[in-house]
Amino acid sequence: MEPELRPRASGHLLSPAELLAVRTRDHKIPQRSHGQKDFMPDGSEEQQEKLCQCRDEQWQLLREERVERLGSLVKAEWKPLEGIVELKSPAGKFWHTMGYTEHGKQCLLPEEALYLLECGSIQLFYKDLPLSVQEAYENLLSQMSVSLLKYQVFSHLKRLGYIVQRFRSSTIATPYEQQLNLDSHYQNAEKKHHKRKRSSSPWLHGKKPKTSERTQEYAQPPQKDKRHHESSSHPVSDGGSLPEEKVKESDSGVAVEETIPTASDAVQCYQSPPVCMEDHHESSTTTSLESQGDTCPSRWNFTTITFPNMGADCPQTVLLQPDKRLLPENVTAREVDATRWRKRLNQKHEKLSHKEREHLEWERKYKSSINEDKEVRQCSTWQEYKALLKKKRQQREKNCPAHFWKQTVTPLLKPDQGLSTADVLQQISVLQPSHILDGASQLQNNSIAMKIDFDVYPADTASSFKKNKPGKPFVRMCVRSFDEQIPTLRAVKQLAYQSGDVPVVFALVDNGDIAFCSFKEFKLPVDVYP
Amino acid sequence: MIRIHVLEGKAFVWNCADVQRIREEHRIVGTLVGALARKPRQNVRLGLPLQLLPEEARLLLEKDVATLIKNPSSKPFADDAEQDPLFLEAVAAYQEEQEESYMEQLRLAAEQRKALLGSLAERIAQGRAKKQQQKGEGGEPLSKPADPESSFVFPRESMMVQLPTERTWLGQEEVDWHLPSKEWPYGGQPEHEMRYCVFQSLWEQGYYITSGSKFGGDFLVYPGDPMRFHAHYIALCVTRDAPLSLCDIISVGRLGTSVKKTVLLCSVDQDGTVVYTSLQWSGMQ
Amino acid sequence: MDEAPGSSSELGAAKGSGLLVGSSGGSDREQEAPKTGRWELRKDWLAAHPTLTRMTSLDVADSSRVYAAFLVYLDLLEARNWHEVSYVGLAEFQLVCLRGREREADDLQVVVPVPVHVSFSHDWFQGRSGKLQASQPDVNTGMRQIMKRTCTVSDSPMSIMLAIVESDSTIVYYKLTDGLVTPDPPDNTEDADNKQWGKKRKRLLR
Repeated sequence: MEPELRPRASGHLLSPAELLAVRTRDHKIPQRSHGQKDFMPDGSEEQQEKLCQCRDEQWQLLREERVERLGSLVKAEWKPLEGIVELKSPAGKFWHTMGYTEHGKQCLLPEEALYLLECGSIQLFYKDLPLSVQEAYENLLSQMSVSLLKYQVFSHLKRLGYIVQRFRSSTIATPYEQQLNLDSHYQNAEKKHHKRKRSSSPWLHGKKPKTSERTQEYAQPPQKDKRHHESSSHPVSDGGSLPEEKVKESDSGVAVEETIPTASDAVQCYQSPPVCMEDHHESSTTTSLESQGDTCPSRWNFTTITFPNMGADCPQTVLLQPDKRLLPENVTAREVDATRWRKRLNQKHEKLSHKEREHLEWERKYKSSINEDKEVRQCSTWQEYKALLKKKRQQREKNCPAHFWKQTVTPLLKPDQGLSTADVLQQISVLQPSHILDGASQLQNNSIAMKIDFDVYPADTASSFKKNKPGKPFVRMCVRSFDEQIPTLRAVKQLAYQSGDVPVVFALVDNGDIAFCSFKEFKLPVDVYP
Repeated sequence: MIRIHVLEGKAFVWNCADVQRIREEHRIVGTLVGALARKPRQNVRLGLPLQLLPEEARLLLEKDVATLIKNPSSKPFADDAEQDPLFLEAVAAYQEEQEESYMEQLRLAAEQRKALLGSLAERIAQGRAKKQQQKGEGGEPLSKPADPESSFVFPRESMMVQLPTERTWLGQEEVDWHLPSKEWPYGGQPEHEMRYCVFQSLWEQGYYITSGSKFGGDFLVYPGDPMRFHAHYIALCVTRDAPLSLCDIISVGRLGTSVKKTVLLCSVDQDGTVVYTSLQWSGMQ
Repeated sequence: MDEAPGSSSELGAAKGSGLLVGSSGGSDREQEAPKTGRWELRKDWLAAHPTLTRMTSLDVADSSRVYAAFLVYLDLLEARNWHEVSYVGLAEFQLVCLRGREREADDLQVVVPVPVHVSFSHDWFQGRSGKLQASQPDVNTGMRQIMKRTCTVSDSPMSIMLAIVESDSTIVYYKLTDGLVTPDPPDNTEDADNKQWGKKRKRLLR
């Protein structure tokens, strides 16, 4: 059939009288008040009548066209070459959660424009002629920008009131950053990004931080309880993720965030890599292919970070002026005598629940604080502590009798290991539980078949929502077709890694029906009495 | 002819009358996937377009009551359309139409207001008289009601504008659905052929059939219009010689039991007839 | 077809300890090598049960299938009190099938016991010529073929009961029927009392 070019020939175009009549149209949806569905058709008139009512109501609703006051419509123009929609009159309320400004122009993404057209909020033009909803579907949706499937999920969530943004990989903080609560800081930093870059340069080439010289004077052995110590040291030693691994991928013109200090800063201040960082280095070189080549594995120099003693047993605590590089841009700091402060700390007697007391009792029985070790207390830096651990390990190995330990078959446990049943079982277990993010950082190199599509924010945050600073999403969506394969563990890990601590939900679209599902991590309970 | 539009390999019906015919004359249900014009920000009741399963579309096409249409590959206007006289003509026509619509709406609105005031005039007069009586005799003389024509304003912003649902251009290219193509990749695909055989066979027995993914099957089979009846069966299309694990049998059977539906195993025979086996939990625990 | 009716003397042997069937397996069975056939190593009454011996001597199926058939046989007789339970060997399908009546007045039903790891196709049969050798998995058995073979009475739609036996000897029964079987209409949900009663009745049945 020849493509026929007959302007404005088809479709339901309403007459002026019909248009005016819409002003008094009912705005409520009729409640389905035709009673319970029946089990079997019996050919009765009653059933037939009910069906007719239902159908008539349905056709009535479907026949209605979108009709709006010209004054309440925002004019917008579809720009196929750029793949965006540009607003031609001031944006409406939707601007709070949708759209972006580029070169001083207010723009909408295709999915946003199409949704707003469906909602009767904008009038969409292409070359001075208005687009119908159908034309907008056919022109705005494409595999290149946003596919039909993705739009169906997008509009489904939007209709439910969620705030939906395209996925921005740069909003993700690494687990390490999350643990340090840096993610909130990044958001503040984002605005001042350019300023910082400039102001950060002067001290770059300046003198070496003084801290290391004075360390011995003030630094006190660590005084923290062992539990805490363990957990805080964990992210450092497990060689997982580093800030620089942030995928620097620009998504539809969204500005790329950078970590602070910038990569080049880090290189400069990173002088003598401590022993403990070596595994870090390896993992980051294998995983940060996507980031710049000259990034350095860590921006912390652990040789110069000391542990101040804020405990009650220390007569005087002077806190040095903190390293400026560790501080946010807008914070200034000075040396401070914390003695008075310290007295105000820990004043309350700790009240423990029954369970906590039991746990403490158990710990006392089976665990010893590393801080009771004199040698440990003399360590002033991580480097020294790690060296001490190494030394001790070597000593222990010497103590092992050769006829036991130097053969191919060795005992399962060392005498100083495994004091509790759980420890012993842990030691001899064949299958180790694994976390969803275990090894996930290594998987990022491989071609990633699946991508996260949307960041979803709950509806009730709309009043406080800021487009430029959206914060942490409620969930992230990965849109898939219903007939696709179930994602592999590899894919799930990749997505989980990309998403950080925000759950990833799969939106499965089947012929317009959408099902949401997600993989939940499950930890097998350990059922051993200590 | 019912027009079925193809978009990204999916079938859509945009015309309301077509949707009605499909349902009432051909027992094809489909799924509404668009926002409802009257109340767009909810998901309980959706509006046009109606999305059809490939099998639903094919049935209508095989019965020769529908045509499969793709988005015209040639755009109505070239990118340098600003010089195209046809385009300029179209823009002028649109603008003129809008102007006419505004004038007509202005006239109608004024008329309506006049009629309204006319019907109210009597009541207003009565009310005034009453007031006067209450105030006691004398008072101000009856003020003349304002002239409806002079005080009436209908600013341009108040003009009602339609955002049409259906395409306003009649450019269309037919798609041959018999052969697999980029637009319509289903023809000849074994999976689709099997599903279509089962779909058609059930449809010919008078059932209404919808997508069954909600219940983990291929189709849901209704004894009457799904608006008024619950589904009786969850149809599962299986290749007749493909081994089925008993665990799968148990899980579909279990699901069917819990939603009070019979699970139907459907296979296509070598001569093209469909055999059905009903799977139900025995009730013995 | 080798047919042997379940005799009442075997019943007596199974009674008393019969209830243990479902639960006794666990601990000592785990220690046995799975391939040799669990029941063979048993020294207790179960392995020596005359019906099991006779089912085995039909020589139609591998030991796991025979054992499954035997467990279902006991379950029907002892836990469900079925009537006239008998077994029959179907060499072409490598199955021992059971027949019985749920209640005395009911029709005879065909029960097909299968271990859970077996898979059937829907409607296809590819047998194997020659006599049964060591378990050969390349037989593609269609459920509809079993149905056609076992349902000889023609006045009602063909139907069989699949008795699927888990490794812990849990048995679930699913009914397969030729054609479309309308599901039971829902309980009258409008009547709250009725609903309550329905729930209660279900609980009692459990």
